[in-house]
Amino acid sequence: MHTKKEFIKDIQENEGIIYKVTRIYSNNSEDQKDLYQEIVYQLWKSYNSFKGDSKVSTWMYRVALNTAISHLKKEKRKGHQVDLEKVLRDRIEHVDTIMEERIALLYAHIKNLSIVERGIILLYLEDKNYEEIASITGFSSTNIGTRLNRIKQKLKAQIKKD
Amino acid sequence: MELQEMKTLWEDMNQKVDQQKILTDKLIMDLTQERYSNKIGTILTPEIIGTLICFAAALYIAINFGKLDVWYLQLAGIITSAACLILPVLSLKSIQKMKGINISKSTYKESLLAYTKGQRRFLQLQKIIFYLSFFLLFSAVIVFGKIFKDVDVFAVSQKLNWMIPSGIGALYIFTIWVYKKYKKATLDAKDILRELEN
Repeated sequence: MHTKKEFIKDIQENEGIIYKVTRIYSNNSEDQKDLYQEIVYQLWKSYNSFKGDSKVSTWMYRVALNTAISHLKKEKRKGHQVDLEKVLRDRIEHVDTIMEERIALLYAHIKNLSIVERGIILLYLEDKNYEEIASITGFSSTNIGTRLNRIKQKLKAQIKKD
Repeated sequence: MELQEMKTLWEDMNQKVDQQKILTDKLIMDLTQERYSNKIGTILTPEIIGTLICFAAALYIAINFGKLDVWYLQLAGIITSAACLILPVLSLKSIQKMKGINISKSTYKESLLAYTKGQRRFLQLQKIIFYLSFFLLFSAVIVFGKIFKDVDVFAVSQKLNWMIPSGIGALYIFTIWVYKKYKKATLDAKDILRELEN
């Protein structure tokens, strides 16, 4: 049985994962806050069934990506809402303006990819190897290689257009 | 921006983002509270309200079935009640299936497949329900016309002269709109499934 304390520690150590997933899968800050809250809620809900047979970060990527998918077209309704303005704003303020502009461009390129590709490129940029990407996504390692090549071509074409 | 540059930029951002510890203990525990006030409220509220209205209509017809004194009125009553009982249940079931993703156990691929297939099934069912609602509307007018006002719609030919064409016209416009909406969503789902298979 995991404790609240352990959960808080795990979340704090990996909070960047939630931020990056929400940024890739949302179209505006309202949507991002909504998804952020939903991911932490789903992580908490499934925390006890997490047996520790994979790294905490791997489990978090899986839950965060799956929540993002099921959140895609869900109708948003008001309910218990936590003020996340500061959480999302502070992350941006910690990097300088020029860097943030470049990061925004990077996210824009990623968001132009398909839903399937977004998850794969995120894990690739997070420096996960093919086996790790395969275990999180469920595609074979070879398939990940093929897909990544395709994604790279797409991104190259997008970048050239700019 | 080159690809390698992209990765370097991501690493730079990571170093900054991963170092930040913005979430406080209180905020995390606040976030773990159920997002919606109760389970029913999550996504099903309008669907449940719709189902209850349909069930109430079916019950109302059953109670007043005796007022339907001609065979075609009785047939219309049976069709309307059956539709009011079956269609909402099918709709609720398909929404439940779409929601049935095991967030912590499923892989990204499994979740995408389950979600997209569920969405396609739901859209197909919605389309069928929508077309059936044409007939349901007519049978409901017939049944409730008799129960509420003791009017046999088939016997009042003058009213039918303008009611039916204007009803069909309004529904036709609505159908075109619904068809376009579902077509786009179904095509999106199809694209994802095709991409997953490649």
